[in-house]
Amino acid sequence: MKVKSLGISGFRGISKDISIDFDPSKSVLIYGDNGSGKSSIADAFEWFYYDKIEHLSSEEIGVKGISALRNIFLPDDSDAYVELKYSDSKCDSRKKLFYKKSKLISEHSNTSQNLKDYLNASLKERLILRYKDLLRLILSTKAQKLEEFSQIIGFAEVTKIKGIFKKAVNDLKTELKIKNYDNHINIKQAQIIEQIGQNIIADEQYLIAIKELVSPLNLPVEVKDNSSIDTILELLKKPEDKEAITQQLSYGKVIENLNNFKIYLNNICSSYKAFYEKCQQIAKDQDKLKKISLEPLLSQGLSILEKRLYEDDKCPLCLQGKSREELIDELRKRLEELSVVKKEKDAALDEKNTTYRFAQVALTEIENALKERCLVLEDNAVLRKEIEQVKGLISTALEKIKKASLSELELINKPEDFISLDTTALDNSISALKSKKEKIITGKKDDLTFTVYSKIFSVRGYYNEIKSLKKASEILTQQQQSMELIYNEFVKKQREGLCSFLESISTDINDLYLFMNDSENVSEIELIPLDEDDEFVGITLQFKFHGKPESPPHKYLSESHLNCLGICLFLASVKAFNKLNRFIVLDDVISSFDTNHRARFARLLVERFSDYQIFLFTHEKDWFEIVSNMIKGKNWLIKRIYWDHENGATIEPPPFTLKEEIESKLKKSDTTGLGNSIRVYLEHLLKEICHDLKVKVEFRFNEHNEYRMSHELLSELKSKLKDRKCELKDHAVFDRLNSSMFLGNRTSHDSSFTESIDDLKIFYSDVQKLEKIFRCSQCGNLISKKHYDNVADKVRCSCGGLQYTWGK
Amino acid sequence: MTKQIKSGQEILDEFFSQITNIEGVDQDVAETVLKLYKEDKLTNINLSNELGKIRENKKNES
Repeated sequence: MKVKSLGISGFRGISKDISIDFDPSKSVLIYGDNGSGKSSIADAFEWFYYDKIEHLSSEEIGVKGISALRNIFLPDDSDAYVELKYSDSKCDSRKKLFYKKSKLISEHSNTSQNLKDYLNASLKERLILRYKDLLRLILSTKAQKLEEFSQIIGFAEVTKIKGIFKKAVNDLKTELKIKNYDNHINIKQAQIIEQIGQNIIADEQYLIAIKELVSPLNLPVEVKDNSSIDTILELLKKPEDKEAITQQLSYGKVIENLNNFKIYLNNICSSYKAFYEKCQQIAKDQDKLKKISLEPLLSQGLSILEKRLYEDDKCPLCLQGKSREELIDELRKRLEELSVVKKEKDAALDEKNTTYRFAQVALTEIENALKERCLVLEDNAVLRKEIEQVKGLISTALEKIKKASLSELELINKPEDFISLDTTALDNSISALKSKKEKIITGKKDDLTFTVYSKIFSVRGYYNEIKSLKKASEILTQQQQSMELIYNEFVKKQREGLCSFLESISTDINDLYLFMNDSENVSEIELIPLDEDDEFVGITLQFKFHGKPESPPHKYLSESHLNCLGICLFLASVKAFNKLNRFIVLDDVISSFDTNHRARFARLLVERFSDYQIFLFTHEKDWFEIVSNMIKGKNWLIKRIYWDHENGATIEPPPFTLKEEIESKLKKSDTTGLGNSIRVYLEHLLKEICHDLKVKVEFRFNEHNEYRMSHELLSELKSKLKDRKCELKDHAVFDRLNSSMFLGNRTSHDSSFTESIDDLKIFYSDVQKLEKIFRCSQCGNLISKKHYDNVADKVRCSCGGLQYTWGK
Repeated sequence: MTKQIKSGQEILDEFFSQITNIEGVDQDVAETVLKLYKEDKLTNINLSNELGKIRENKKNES
């Protein structure tokens, strides 16, 4: 998708309508001074696509920066709007911002699904780059880089689902731990052994055991399956035994509950101990503890600085002098340090939660025991009271663990004080219950039918429960293993995806960076993922500096190089991810570049992004000149934006080259800076002429070679022409220029001389005459040694329309 | 030239299209996870509930 036209009205710095028609196949260079409205255009794009302007989104201005969007002079009853028309007109829309019942509302004129889908898809693409965003990613922490890239490539969802899988695996593991199937099975097996003196681990053994129990009774039923065992039980059942059986079972249940409780008690104690020890570890470092409580303040401070809500080079709290970048760096490091402590804290909280769950289950066992009818009996009142005391203790422990807080570590009980339960008393209770149960059996020991019935009934119950527990354990274990396999496979896919992306984008970043910085000592720029325990924890930017691997970039790279890297990162992301949109907006991104890098950046855009529609904004006159020259004859439009009180921001057709600026000022008789402009123009012209005719000048080192006054160049040019017996050598224009250059110099410097427009017209006229004698009016090129005719001893322009003698 | 990079969504779609083929994975679990993903209901709570239902169903089968 490319942009066909842009219309803005009443939006940000643009009071009246501006409308720019583009050719979707062409890029646009927009020049404008600071405050002319360039960034308002970038803001317009941003609001249109993202429904907010990031750099305006603050607590004071408001979420999305909405209260700062309408132009301050726009009447309340008028609409502000941004209108975009595209190469695919289905997405054309005017987005309005207006007041409705004192509330600011935004609305698209195009309510079609096409636009909605387009805007939604565009959210994932990189469309706008501003100067302030260049360093943001480069200087961010490893974790922030990971988050940002994850967002760029849509990995947020991947990370979220990984989190879901990981939690599922951990929850299933915890469930297995809490259920403690093995222990429950062991208890049941102990009960079976108690009944029949042997363990049963298979169906066949079970049937044999029942057969053995039944054999003394010589029943007509053969023991072969569960159904036959049910039949046997029916045969043996006597109404008068019902109460005894029920009581026996009841005692059995209470004993089981208390045995289970004992196991949970052990688990509670060990997990609480682990919790306590972790808390002690955290408490050892009082500094870290305090830092944890500072974390919200540090996070908020970082956010304020990043959003440029406070831009002074001072700490916003203590007002101590410190550069903003340094402060941001420091805050990021401190927050990353805290993440380590946060992990310790989370581990402690895990143990707390496990203790709590064990305590809950333990309490349930006690409550189930207390529900049993055997404990309601008068005879068992003391036993009941003892068990109720246990309930009280475990309830208290549950409350303690619930209230335990890492912010009040001194209130967390030592393990020995957490739950003061006399396990001997508990064992005595269990023994007492066993005795009572035994008494029932003993009381009926002469009743073979009762004994056999009781044993079969109990063993059947225990064995079936064992089978049920084994089945449940198997199901839960299988689920946990399956989820673990799914999680591991997912992690592998995530890793492959992220590494592939990082490798690919690293290649592009490196390529783009080296294009702009060849023969400098930086190479092999790479984005490297960092992981810890299967988790991606960050991304670092590594590069080779003088052949040695280094990281991070701001360790050695200058601000200019870092900005360059930021641009490369953005452009590489555009190449990687912008599948739908083929346009990008670059808003004043080269402010810190030196001349050399600016030229290279311009070349990069023109050569490597020629299939993109680029909206390039700048206030830098020199760079504008560089780019203007570079894009001549290519698919670019050049516009100028300027601002005045009457009209606000205005877009003007092709803005000034230096020549146009001079001629415009001459036309308006505006002498402001005109002398200097003409002098610069003359210098530039003389350099070109001297270059093409290979006029020799005095040697100077490095950039000093560039600094040549016009009179020096003119003098050497005349010498050359004389030397070559060229007919131009005595041309009157040279003397005329010498006198009018004097005027130009006077007006360029601090002097009381007040030039007149006529003086400057004469000066410029002489410059034009000089240009005319060296530049062909047909092909527009200067005469040059490149086109030397060594037969006729003439030097000429490329088409041959202008030529002069050039003797040996 | 930039290689074809898979977006997060593509990675997810690819993974879930093959989830039932992961060796050793219980098919009920895999199909449940896939179903939740397709219905855009894959959350901690939903997954936990569905896994619980699978366990109950399997217990009752026996």
